[in-house]
Amino acid sequence: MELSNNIATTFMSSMKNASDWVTFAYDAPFARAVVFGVPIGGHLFVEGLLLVVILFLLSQKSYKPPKRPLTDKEIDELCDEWAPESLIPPIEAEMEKEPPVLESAAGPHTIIDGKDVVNFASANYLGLMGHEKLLESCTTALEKYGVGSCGPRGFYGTIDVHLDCEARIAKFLGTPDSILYSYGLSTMFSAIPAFCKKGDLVIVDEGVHWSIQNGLHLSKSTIVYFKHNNMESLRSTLEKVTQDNKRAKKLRRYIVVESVYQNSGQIAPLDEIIRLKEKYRFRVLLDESNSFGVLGESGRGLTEHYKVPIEKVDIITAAMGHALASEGGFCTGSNRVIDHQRLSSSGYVFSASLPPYLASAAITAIDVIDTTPQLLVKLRDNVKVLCTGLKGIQGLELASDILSPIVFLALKKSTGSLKSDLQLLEDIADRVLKEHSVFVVTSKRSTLDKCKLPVGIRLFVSAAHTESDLQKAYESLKSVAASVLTGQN
Amino acid sequence: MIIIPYLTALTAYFSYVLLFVFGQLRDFFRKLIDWWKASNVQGYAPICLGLEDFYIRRLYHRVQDCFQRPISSPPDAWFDVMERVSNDNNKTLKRTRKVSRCLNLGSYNYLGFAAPDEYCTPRVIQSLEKYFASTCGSRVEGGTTALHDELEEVVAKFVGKPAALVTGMGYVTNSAILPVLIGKSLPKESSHLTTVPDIQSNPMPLQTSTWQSLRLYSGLIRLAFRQNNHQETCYFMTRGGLIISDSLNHNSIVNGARGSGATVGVFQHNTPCHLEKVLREHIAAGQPRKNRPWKKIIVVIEGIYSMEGEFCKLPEIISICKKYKCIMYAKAYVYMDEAHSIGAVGKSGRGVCELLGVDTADVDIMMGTFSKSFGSCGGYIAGSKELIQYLKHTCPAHLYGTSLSPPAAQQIISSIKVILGEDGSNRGAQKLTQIRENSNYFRSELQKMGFEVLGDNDSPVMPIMLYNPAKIPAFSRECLKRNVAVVIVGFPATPLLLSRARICISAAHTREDMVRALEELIQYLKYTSPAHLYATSISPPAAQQIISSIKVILGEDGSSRGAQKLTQIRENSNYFRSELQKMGFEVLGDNDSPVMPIMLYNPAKIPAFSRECLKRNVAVVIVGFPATPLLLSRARICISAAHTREDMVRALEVISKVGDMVGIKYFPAEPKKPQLEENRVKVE
Repeated sequence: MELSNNIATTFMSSMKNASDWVTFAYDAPFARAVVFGVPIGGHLFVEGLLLVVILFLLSQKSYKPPKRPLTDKEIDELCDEWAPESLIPPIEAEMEKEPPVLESAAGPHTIIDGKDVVNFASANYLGLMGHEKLLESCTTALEKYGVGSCGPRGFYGTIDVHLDCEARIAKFLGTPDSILYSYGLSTMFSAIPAFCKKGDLVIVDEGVHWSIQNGLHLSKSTIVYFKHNNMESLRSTLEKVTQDNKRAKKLRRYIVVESVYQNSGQIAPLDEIIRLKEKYRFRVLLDESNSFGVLGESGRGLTEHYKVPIEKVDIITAAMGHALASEGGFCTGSNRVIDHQRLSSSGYVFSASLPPYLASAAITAIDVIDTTPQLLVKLRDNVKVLCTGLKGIQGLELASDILSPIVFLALKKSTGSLKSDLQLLEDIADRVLKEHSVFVVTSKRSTLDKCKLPVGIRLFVSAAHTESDLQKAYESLKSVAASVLTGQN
Repeated sequence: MIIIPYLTALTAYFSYVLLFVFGQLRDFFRKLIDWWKASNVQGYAPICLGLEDFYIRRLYHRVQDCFQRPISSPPDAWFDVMERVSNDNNKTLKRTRKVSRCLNLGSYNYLGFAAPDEYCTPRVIQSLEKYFASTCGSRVEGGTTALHDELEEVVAKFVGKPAALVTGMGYVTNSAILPVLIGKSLPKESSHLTTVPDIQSNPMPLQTSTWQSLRLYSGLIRLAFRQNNHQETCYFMTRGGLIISDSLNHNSIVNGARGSGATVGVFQHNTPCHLEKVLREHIAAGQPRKNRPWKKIIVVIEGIYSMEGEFCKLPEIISICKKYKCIMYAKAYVYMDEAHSIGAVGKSGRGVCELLGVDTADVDIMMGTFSKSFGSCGGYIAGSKELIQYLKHTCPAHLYGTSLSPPAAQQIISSIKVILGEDGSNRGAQKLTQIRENSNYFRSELQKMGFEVLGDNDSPVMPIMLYNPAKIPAFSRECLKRNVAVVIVGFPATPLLLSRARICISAAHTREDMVRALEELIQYLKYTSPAHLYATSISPPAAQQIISSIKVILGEDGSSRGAQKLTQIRENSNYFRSELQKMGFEVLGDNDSPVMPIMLYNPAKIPAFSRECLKRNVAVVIVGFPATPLLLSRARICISAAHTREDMVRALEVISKVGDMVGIKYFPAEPKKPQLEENRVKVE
């Protein structure tokens, strides 16, 4: 009791002290002051106290764990301890395999190991390889200009044939302008980062080839994949993207597709894509590498095939190493699109230009396509013959479109891993080459390739293949597949 | 290190600000007109947002005629530049049929293989007939001909590595191989199709035009100050690899590094000590966030920096790399990174390794291009057998890209044969001597003329600094008017302020060509120098005096007076300088120089020295602030060949006396050494 009394007394006295003090403070002469008609009373005192507290807190150092940078000696130790991995992983047995070496031009027939073989490995769709007119124009250009151009386009690497070639392509396709790249592979991965920047939205087919993947990666855009060549998936993706994100309207938005997919031989339904693009206000980037000079009545590509006006597709790129039997690539579109690339596209600005003889070969090749549309008809017939012939092949199925010049055979039943699938297909290709003298290739995948489509055997059909070549191809494939794949199962 | 004169930097910045303001004004009016016409397609964001193409529209279009000039002949020592006209203020240019024959100082035709060649061209045409212009397939898809195999062997032997891989384009070589070496490899086993990712999970960054313009501005500023413009760190993708890259590496390397997703560290251009610092920091810190040690580190450099004309300091960099167990990736031969240097430098054209005496075994990966010295196209990568085998299995350029065109491959084989003298002539050796001589002659002449030339001796690439944006097109146009084609390089390729003209010397240039080019450059100086344009011309008697005196100096007056005068002034200067120094004055300057500043420092001593000397009949010049810094006032003595020995003895006597009076013998001739030593002993 006494204790609690004691505490109470102490407490009371201290309270009294405090209240006295406060009263004193309130009574202090300045506390009665009236500022702008407002009596400030004890405010000034309380606020002054607050200020002191704040200043006191501010003057204190905030607690930080003391930073002790590594001493030189410690860094030395760390550097000594550091042991790098080897530059490359150990070589596996499959890597030691060398591709067949051609001893003559890669025409419909070529020579491997001194043996004449039927070539289904080169994308010489129109059979222009070895064409007299192309040879002539190449020779003339070589004699006039030499081989290389010794400089990028900006710095005296622009030769008149480059400009002629750009004009010829634009005229052929009916676009305002076009731009030449010195390598097919670099076309897409330079053009894409020129137009897509960080924050832009790109809807892309998951089956696109590496060059597009790399371009998208370099552009740092927001990338959304849709299921391979599945328009329903594209539609729902577009719907989702535009619905959920109001800001999407202010972004640049692109749909990136290939007209004939190198990884599967499927053809993109452009009419449907254009419909969706216009509905959701996206721009379309179309890679015509395997359809330029192939699809359409006169070889003008996918737009002609679907009778879509070419202006509806905003940016078209293509490699010239396929149907045109030349090398390099081009991009075509409106003037604004092309002009922008001439200073912003890294593969164009920072690389030596296309050797002039290849540009002149491309011009001649387009002339040939323009004058001999029969080639296109022959190619279509050949594809049809091969596809029909391959029907009923054991263990494999036709994954490509009936019109695609890339005939793609995928395994009916995957073994479960990409590696063993590829091994199996390689076996077939090897045996077809060795036993039947038909050169076909499997679709190889780089470690960098993000494409998840199944691998398969790829046959590049050419207009120069004869009926008997095609027959030989499907018959040999059928017989080898039967023996390899039955043994497997 | 380039040091920009203060005034130049100021005027250059001013010019850019002016261009920017006018560009913005024009954009504003354009916007008004566009709005009036309402022609833009509704609902689409513009294809170039905000300031993205501002530079092109408002700056580049003004000077567009200086770039992309079409030519209608091979890019040899002389070529035909096609004239272009514009009806819309340079926005579009139309080719005309008119050509002008110009001296080519722009192409990378270092060894003169650009033009049809007596040895190479027939072989190239033969291979065209045999293999055609293209293979229409990648290397693994029917694109490997016997010619490609031969080429790879020849290249490996030429660069001194066990194996080589050839690709169809130099740019792709870098941008496709770096990711393979260090990038993230994807799990190959997942063959299931991915579902569409939920868009919600993708953070959509705030994207307004303000943000974009802010980003662009900051980018411009960063570039302007030449900072590490490709430092990129992708924390989430890295597989534990680190790329250390020179700050001025070529765009293809930058793209390759970016594409690899590895962490990229940047060291100051060609500064081995900074490389070491960066390496130590990174090794000590380990991988970002995880702090684990790096799996491997690749140091990427170029052989010759194409915009600088400099050789890399290969021996120093190699020793650092060895110390820290890093992998060297040197772009070594044809574009002057061994892109530019292969074929062009070295005793037998084998690039910087040969030139700088470095064993090729020390460079783990050598890369180069064929589009420069060899006059072809394509690129190579050379390294150990295992490395090449691995790349042949994984590199996308090898698996997906169309293989090198057979005639181009033949061109490389033939030109290497010429370089090595295997064609049965000594043309290759001649070419190599020629390019070295040409380069060194041209560089020294340029420097004598007073241009600021970057780069090292023996390097065929010579950047001439221009700085000011208005001078960029002026230099190019005026040279073209005089039939010399030069390359000018401005903002995106160089930092904003450091625009330059670049001259590439070729073995195909003759001495007459070069004398001519130099004359044109003098002409340019005449054209741009305000002193030449605005000041009254030199008076005829004065001109005559100069001519006559030069004749005397050269001994063309028929006497040896010129030579005597030159000896006299040297002797006089050296005598006077050494005497002054003995007396204890602080004398600046070098031996043989006739100008000797004597430091005074104290303002009171300035007039005192002058007045006392004059009293004793010796006239000296004194210099104080603003001509010198405030503290560093001095007296300046200029010796003449007309001074006799007696004159000088007398002058020295006077100066010595006055020096004692004024107290400016800051270094007394005989310091009291013994005393000093005694003092020291005492202290100990």
